[in-house]
Amino acid sequence: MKPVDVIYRRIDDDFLDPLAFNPDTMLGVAGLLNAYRAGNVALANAIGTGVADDKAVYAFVPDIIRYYLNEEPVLKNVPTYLAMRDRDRDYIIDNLDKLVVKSVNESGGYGMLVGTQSTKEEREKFRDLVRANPRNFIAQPTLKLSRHPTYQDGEMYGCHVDLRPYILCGEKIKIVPGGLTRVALRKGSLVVNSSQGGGSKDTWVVNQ
Amino acid sequence: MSVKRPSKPFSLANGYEVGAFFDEMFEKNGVPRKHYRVLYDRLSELTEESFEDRRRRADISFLYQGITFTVYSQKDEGIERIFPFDLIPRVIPYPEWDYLERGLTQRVTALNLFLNDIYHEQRIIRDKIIPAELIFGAKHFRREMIGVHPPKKVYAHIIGSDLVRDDKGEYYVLEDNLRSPSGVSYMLENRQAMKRTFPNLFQRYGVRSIEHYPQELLATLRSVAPHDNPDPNVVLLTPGIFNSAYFEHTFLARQMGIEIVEGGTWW
Repeated sequence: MKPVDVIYRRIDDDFLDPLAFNPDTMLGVAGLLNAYRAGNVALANAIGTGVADDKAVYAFVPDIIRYYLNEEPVLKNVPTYLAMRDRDRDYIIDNLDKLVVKSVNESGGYGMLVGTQSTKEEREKFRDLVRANPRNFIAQPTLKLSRHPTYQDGEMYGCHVDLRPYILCGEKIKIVPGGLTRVALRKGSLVVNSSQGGGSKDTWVVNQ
Repeated sequence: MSVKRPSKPFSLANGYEVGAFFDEMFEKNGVPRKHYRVLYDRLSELTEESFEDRRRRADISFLYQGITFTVYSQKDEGIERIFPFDLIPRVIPYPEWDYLERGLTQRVTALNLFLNDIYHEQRIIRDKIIPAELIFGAKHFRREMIGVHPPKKVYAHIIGSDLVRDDKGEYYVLEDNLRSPSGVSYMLENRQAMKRTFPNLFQRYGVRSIEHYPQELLATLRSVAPHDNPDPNVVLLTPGIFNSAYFEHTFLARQMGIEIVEGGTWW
């Protein structure tokens, strides 16, 4: 058998190695963490990268850029309130109907409250959740996301879109031009995730 | 489906309301932005019938290729659905892309330096830029990684940052996905579908190519092999067929010409 040098893993840290992390996992490889720590195999992405996409750590990315690169950030962050800060938490709780509240480790549009589209019960539930575990929540103002004409079921209408470019970092950094434009197909919806009624369209970077 | 409609011209502008949002395509009702004009003119040449026909053919080809994803809910075992595809592409002028590329490059460079720091010297904590409890309390902080040296000091090799625009058209980073961002197979398949549907438009427009993504991904993975091995064996590790992104895993492994493996079946 040929030894493996690089593993492009599409498995979460928790399931990578039953000896090191979740002992019940059937998905991982026993002993992988030790082989990795000894430098005998590379993992992409490395173990522990998730700390940088914690949504509370996200709020510090502009500071992270200034600190390590001594440059102003080119791209803006969405203003973010951290429930772990007393002042921010009071603001979040007083303005749940205007804000988007997110759990710091969830993705895919789960574990979030879109204040402008929420019911009183949902807001009360989130108020209690935020108070019980402030480290676990952030809030952001509701952005009026841009829209793109979309043709579905014989009709043309504007749908909210986002853009996910794919960035590759090895010896060099490479980004193929464009990325995946995700579309919130349900009329008026802000959620672009495929698991929640989202779709996609091709993205053209043109010479103009 | 079989009802014949008179072939009306396909009109993008008629009745379409820009509304109180930044519209990617239209400056105002009926007036496309400059970089959308080539597309707008081409679509205006079509009849509604021929547009519908192109759309149907694109949908069928997605279905035949098995490009589906699985939705899990609390009740269901998982339902397989076609990833809904929209035939009207988004157009980004090059200067705007150049700006995004600079911003993203800056961001991921800083994030990799940050990861290297928190798993080694932790200067950013000592200099009180970020509170210690925020890092050590993060669910995905891994103590096991302290002192480990990943090749070339790269931690995040594949990143899918989500960008959005506000009502003035200003771009924002909404989140950085540094674990296992998915969806790149849709990007590649969407391009194939559009090339089949509007073959002549690509050259006329000077659309930048993306088809080399799998080769760039493989080159990236090879460049971080341990001990600078010039001919490393690269594999893709998948959780298996029940994972919602399994299609993408097989797709990428095939495109890169590498083996796809599952835990327990190798090593």
